[in-house]
Amino acid sequence: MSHVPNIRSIHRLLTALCAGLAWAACGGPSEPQLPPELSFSATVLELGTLREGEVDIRNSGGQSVGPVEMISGVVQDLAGATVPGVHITSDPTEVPTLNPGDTRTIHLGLTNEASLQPGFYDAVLVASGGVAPCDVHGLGSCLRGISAQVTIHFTVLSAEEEAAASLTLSTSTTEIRTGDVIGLAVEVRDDAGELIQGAPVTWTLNPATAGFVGATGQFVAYESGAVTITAQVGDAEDAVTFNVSERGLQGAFTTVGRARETLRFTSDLWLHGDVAYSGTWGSRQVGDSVRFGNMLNVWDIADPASPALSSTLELDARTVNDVKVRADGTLAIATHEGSANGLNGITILDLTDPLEPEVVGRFTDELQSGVHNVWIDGDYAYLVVDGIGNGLRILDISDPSLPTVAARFWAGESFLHDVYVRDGLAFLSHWNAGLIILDVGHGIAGGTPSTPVEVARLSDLSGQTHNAWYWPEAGYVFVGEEDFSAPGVMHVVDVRNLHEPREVATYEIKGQPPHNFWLDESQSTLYLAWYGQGLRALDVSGDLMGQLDRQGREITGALYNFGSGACDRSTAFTCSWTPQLHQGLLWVSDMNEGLIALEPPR
Amino acid sequence: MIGPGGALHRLVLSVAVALVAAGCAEVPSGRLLVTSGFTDQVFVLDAATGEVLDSLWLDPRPGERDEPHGIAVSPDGQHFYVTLSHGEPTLWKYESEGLRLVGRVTLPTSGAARVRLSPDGEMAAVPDYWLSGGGVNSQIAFVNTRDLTIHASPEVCPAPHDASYSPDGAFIAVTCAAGDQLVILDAADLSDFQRLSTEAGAKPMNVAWRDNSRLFLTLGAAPHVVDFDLNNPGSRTLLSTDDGGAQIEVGRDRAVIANRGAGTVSIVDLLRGGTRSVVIPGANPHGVALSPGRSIAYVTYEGDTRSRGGVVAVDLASGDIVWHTDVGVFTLGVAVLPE
Repeated sequence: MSHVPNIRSIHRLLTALCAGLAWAACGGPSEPQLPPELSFSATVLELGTLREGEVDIRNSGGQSVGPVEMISGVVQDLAGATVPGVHITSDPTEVPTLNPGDTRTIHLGLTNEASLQPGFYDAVLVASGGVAPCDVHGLGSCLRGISAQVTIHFTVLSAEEEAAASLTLSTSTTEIRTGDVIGLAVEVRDDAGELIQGAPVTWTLNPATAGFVGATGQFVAYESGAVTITAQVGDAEDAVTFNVSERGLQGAFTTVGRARETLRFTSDLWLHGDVAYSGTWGSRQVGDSVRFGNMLNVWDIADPASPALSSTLELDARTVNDVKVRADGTLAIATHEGSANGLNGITILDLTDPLEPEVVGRFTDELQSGVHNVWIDGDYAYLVVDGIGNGLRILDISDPSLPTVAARFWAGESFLHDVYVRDGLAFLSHWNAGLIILDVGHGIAGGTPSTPVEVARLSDLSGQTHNAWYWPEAGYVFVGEEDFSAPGVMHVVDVRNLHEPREVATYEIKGQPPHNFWLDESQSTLYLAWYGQGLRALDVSGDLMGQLDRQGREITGALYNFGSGACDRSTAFTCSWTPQLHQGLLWVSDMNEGLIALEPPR
Repeated sequence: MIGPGGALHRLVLSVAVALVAAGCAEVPSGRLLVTSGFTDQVFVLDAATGEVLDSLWLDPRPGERDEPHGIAVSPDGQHFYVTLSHGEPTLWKYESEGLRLVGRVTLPTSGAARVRLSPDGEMAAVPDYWLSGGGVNSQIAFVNTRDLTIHASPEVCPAPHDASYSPDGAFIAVTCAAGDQLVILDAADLSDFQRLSTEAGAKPMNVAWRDNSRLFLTLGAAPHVVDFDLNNPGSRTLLSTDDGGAQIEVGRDRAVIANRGAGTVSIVDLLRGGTRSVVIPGANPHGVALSPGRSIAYVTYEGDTRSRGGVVAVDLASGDIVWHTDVGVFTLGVAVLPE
């Protein structure tokens, strides 16, 4: 920085002059204003059996506040168990600003109430405003400084009680582990001994916090020990006592090797054969210099204990967010965001020599706003184009030197963040539009890559739908919610009926949202990169229901580079981006360090 | 609505302008606000020295890049407004004193470029610079600044980048980057007043009003600025500049253009004619703001994939660079926050 001599002193003089003018004009200092203060019109809102209601939010302070975000907590039963797939909605979800004395009415609703058993439920809605105390480098929770909350109570009544004379509760076993999902069979008969179909059952757990009973009469245990479940219809009831043992999982990650990139932040990775490809992200200040995410790093991982940087490829980008290799290993695609020429797009690479990729070409048509993620499936590349209104572009890359746009899809709202393609289905993580399933060759809806057809959409995933992994054998999709405010969780979506996806379970780690996943299907182990919370290995065997984080399903977690649990990009601490299981090792890209190879828990 | 702060602001402006008019060199004062599109920040600089004083984070998605783009200070100086282009586009409102966030509204658009305020400060206009729209008409979001409600969002033309109010507030000039048009809206009802064509492929980017009927238009793909006269829409004058015009500001007797393509700033003498070209010590000049006395131009440069962005202060009389500060990444918008 160069300065004009003495300019500061002249500046101070003028500043003093202005200050004097201000004093004269305003008659001295003004009265201090009271800070903003948020309050709801009620602290408790009794909805009873209604499924919607209203509450006012008011700024009773002396200064403006905004935005005021409405954050709805989970719906819990009387025992405090979270009911998966049921949410309180608010309209608006955010009040832009509240000036002193301003009031706005918030309309509340309840989604997916069919998932609820008869009983009493509550949820908390927090209005959060003011400046988020996120620091410069942090990827931590950003709850705002000023808040108010209202507790919402509602009731789900039993249908008119039947003339039940007897009830029999049975199960296939009473010896279970935490996390096992067990079906409960209920048989209700009237005075004449006739079977009553579809009688509404009220369930009671003892201890109340020991687990969760789903709407379809399935039970999952959260705590070990004796758990008694009572089913009741009218005056008839029966009980079963389970002996619940700990799930008993154990294991640990062991670090095998490191491919260090400390000049730039690392983004996504993809491994094929003995080569790892990793992107770079944003801008990183090291000493006095700043390096941008303009590089694709190519690593020789023939010896995972000593990965070596084989080559780098500089791209016209400030972020190379994603890189993927086609299954046959002949071709890779790297994405561009923030390019200097404003065209962004993708670069297609020839991997004849996988350690020295050759640029086939750059394709930018319809991709100028930036490409965030990519998936390659045979002769088609599925591209996530940044921005509302853009969505998915499916490129025909049968001639990699001359790609053509085969199809486009946008959900009509929000923006696409990620895409995962398998078995002719494309799973779109479409931010606030939720999870969208497209037929691109599966056959269920007659779609092809050039004529994708929407099969289903699950909008109610709390927004910020970030990534998805489809597991066809089990019929689940694991969905990440990248919400730094709440923060977000991993949602488990049951897609055994592809036309009617429904959320059945969640997994959360306090303080951070998840990032990307990789599933070891042979071991039923889901690996989750969780920013500052590092890597987690989760047992996803069997049926999944309820809160997975309360079921002893976490095999192990690793903060391989230590840290506070928040991703601090000014340090070398753990900040996990994406895992990939490859040749028996779990590789993870870490924003702060590069790639780390770990021996997964066995 | 101009409050006591606005009156004071005008007084200070008057003093500054009077000093310059009297032959005294203007002393830069106040603060500069610049947007850093690729670090999701607004930096606050000392306008006199270029020293970085503070920074704000506009980062609703800490794991993504959200691109703070446009920035504007209210006429009374009490608030400033920033657009975020990526994700779901938003307009943010801050108090100038204390730099406190007091509001944010999600815009009904695909993107957001510059933000311009009506002369009374009651309305903000944010164009949807949607280059991927394939030629469809995009919207201008008009936002009531008091409560941040959406007043209207008419579809105007393909990929509008700038929507600037005339000094009297009667018209709004909209640049259509993908439509080779300059659209003049009647501010009263947001209807079309005039549609003026530019040369094909010239990429109209930004405008600056010279008075209530004349305005200058920069072209992203041409080495000149177009001087339009709304009273004589058939005629237009071309002012030679360097290539790739980005933002433009007009002072009493000069127009200042950041030439993104050429890496320069053009200073056009509107009284005597002639253009001075100043090389900017940074890649891709983008934004321009003038000091209260209009003798200093603050010009941002974006940087590129190897270099930072930043700001330079240029003395318009001499063409000298008064100071230069590397700050931000993809540094775009700039506005002056007076004392």
